[in-house]
Amino acid sequence: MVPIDDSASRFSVAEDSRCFDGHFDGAPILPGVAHLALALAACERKAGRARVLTGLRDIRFKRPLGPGDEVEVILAGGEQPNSVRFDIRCRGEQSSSGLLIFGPEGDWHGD
Amino acid sequence: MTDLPPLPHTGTALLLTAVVRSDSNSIEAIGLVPVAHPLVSGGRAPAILGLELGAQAAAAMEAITRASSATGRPARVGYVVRVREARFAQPDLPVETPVQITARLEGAAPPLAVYRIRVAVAGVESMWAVLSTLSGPAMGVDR
Repeated sequence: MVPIDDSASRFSVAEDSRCFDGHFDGAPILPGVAHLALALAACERKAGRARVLTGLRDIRFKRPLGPGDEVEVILAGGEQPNSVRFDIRCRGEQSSSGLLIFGPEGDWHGD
Repeated sequence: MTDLPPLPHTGTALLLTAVVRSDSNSIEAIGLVPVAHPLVSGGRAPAILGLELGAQAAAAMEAITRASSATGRPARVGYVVRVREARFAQPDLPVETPVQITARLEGAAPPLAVYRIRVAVAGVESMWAVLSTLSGPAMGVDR
């Protein structure tokens, strides 16, 4: 998945993305975990560093993403401390959404 | 150990490697994240891949149960439609290392089903989650 502008929210799902390899042969669908990876990448771009993910809540996969799709990841503060709500949209329609729960501020992935 | 049932995942997308035991309500399985997996970076597999491991274990349980039924119904492709909750004790999973997966059927109203999944590394819980899945077409049927 490649960012397509500097707004830290838009990505292009490459036609030949390895995320589609074997998922599934003849009917490529972006795995749900790749949606989460997109949301986490948007959070990292916005924060400047990767935070440690400790939980998820109410993640919904509504519309599949396929090769060549361009998506917008919308982030907002979550209802609980250290959480971020994400909304992934493709062609104006919601593809997936949910709440990412992170460790306390200062708890950075890779430290 | 039993052979893996047919799953729609192939290549690096297939994370399940063996079934330890299975019945109509639960499964214990072994999985592994290959270093070539597209989400592996810097030798690390993100903890969210535990969701995929658990989902594949649930799919295997469904496939085994269907195959062993009196009618031998074909396995169906299942899609994760919701993660109700998940907790990650570790930020990463080891790569090229067997992990233990359990999935338990919490409820079902076909084509929907709810599973509680757990992934452990060397017997220590790494993550758990509650997933909802939706059954799709039978495997081998054009989509």
